[in-house]
Amino acid sequence: MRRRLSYEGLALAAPVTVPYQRYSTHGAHWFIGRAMHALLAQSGLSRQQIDGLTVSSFTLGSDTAVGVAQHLGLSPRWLDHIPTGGASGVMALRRAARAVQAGDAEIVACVAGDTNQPDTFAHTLNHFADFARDASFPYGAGGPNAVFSLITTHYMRRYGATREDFGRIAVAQRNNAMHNPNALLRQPLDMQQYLEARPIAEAIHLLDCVMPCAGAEAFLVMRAEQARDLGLPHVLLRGAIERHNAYADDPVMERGGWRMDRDDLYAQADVQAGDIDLIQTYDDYPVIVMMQFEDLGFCEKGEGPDFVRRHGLDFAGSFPNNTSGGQLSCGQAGAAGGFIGVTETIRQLTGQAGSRTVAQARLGMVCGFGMVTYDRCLCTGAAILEKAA
Amino acid sequence: MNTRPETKLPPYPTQIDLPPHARGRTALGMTAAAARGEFMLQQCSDCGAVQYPPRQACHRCLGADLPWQRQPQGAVLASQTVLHHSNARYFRHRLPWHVGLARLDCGPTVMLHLPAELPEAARLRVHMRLDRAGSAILIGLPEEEATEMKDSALIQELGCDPRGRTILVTDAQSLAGRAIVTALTQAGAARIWAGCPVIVDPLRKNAVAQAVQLDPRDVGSLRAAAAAIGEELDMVINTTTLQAPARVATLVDRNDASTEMDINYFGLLRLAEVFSPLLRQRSAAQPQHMPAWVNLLSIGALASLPGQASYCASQAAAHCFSQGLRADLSGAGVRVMNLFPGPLEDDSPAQSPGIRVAPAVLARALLQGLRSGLEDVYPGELAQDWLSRWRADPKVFEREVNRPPG
Repeated sequence: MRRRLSYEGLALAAPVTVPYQRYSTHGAHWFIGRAMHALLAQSGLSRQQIDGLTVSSFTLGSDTAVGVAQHLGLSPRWLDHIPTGGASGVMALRRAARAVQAGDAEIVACVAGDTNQPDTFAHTLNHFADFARDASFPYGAGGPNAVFSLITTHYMRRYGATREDFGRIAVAQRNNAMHNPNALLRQPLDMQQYLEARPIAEAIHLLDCVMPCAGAEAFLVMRAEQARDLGLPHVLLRGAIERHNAYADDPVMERGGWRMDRDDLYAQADVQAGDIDLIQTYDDYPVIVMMQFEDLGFCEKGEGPDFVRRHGLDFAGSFPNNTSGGQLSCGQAGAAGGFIGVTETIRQLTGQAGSRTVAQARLGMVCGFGMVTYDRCLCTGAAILEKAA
Repeated sequence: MNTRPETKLPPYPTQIDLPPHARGRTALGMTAAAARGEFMLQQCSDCGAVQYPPRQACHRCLGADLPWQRQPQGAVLASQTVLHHSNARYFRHRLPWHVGLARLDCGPTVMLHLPAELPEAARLRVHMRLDRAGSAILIGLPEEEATEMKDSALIQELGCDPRGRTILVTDAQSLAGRAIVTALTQAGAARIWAGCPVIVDPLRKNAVAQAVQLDPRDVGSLRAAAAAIGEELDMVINTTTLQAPARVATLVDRNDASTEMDINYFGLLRLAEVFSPLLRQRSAAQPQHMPAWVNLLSIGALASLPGQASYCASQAAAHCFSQGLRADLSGAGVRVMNLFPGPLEDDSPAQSPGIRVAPAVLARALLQGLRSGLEDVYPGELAQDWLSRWRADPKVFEREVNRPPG
């Protein structure tokens, strides 16, 4: 395969989080509008200077990115609608970076936002995908909880993971969230409480599940030179991959597409797994966090349980993971759940992470994972970001 | 004098929670197979790959021709779980709920309902059934079907076993009606209301059956019968059917045609008007049992048979109406099943020669169809043969059975 063009000279800046709410009467457009407002306020840019836009959301109704542009009074010359939920953050930054690199846009705003009303989640599940409607939702209507329970149960049997192993991930993330004012779940959590949470679907208990909420996340992609000229704290994009519908023949999902492309990722960034200082895994369920540790090469397949036993996973630990608290503690604001790792990594590497800052971090990894359309999750992505010199 | 008993509104709710019923057009092929009691999946005409979930392009070779074909039902359980939470109220009432993933011997991985926790990597036989909303679902049962699995609530609710149920047989005096009453009695029905236009013989030696006067031509008599039966009615088996003697010389006899239409079509309409609300209410009052409405139609509902044009027209009319009745009652969780036998053995002196369906065969097919939750049943070899010819090409079937004289 031909070596891919590098992302040299491309930067991410202006990490924005529109505060999460459990439920909101506002629509997705409101949250996306607040995110855009915050991007401009934080960067000092005018609306006209934003000439590229990506939009990710599940609750826009029949609206798409161009409807959002009209709604917000934007007139971009480059536009993308990225409806891939948990993978949308990594996918957005890849697309935006290439657009900027090619000169199709100067400054791209990548925005994800969703509202949440008491019936939103069930509605989204009901209308998620043809395969889900025909072949998974009728089987108990458990939504992703049911699918990931089947995946978790299988993984536990095959590789000997225990609930305590998953609990280590959830408890460490809660410790991180206690340093994040935007996290919806900030009360202390110990292993006992984790283990005693009520069962949702066999292996999965309440504290393995993300809490759906309303909110938005956003960031800007531009040339590093431009970020410097604008005086914007920024990070550099060193490498990024994505893969969809990988390993379709595995009867039950036990590895993700990251494994197919990880060598390419590290080669592009010219670093190794051991060089990564902090990681934002996609944490819709702890078993997937463990799978990312394996599939991205931090340990071998099946060594995930041992890996989490050997490492401290909070921001002060030996392997800082989901330093904002992740979705498990912050909440899952729809498609913004695919962006939360990007904004957190930018904050960590630009000195904006406050008391949860990982000391002396230079390289951060962000992972994306999205779209359970039937029996597994289809989209995977990962990016390596570096602190600007 | 026309006395109409007061219609009493039942004290219980008439709404019922149903499983998610939405399916795409392609996936309805599975519902069609399940309605007939078959196990079919799409298979690519170009490369032979079996497809699941239902799709419009082959996942292996992108072929576009994906006909539904019978498939082997064997599978291996790949993973299983127990749901303690559901986003649908139907399942919330039934928690904990077992589901699993299984790898079919014919290729695809399917999500399916399980009756209970099963051994790891268990060999399964996968069944395609209609759920309470009338949409197709897959169920995995252990390959050696243990009796307790068949008795599980999951399997029970997908069928309409007559055991313990209260059933109305609208015409219990015909040969078919009598055989059906006997079969239902033997199957453990709690109570059978045996409809008779005039009560002549009060069903001696049957402690379960009780005669009720019922004339499908008279809506007043139906209302009176409904009042006598009360709210606890689980099944209506419409055995009321009339066929004038076959006619070779003339195509049209308007008197015969009106009588056939009045009994076979309008009779069903009147029965539906009076009794379908009772099944609706029963479904909501006892959600764990699926009520059923059964129509004894004829294979002649599909195409006109020689010398029986007006009779077949009345059967076609009843068939068409039954589809509307099914759509209406599916929202209430009530199964509508049609029996399409070939010519029945009956008491009529004018019976023409030829292959006839024995009453016991008909009754057996009825019971099996009820227990399997089917929608369309074609009892007897003749009906099966005609069905396959009709499915192959309705026009060819029309011409091959209706040969010109001479």
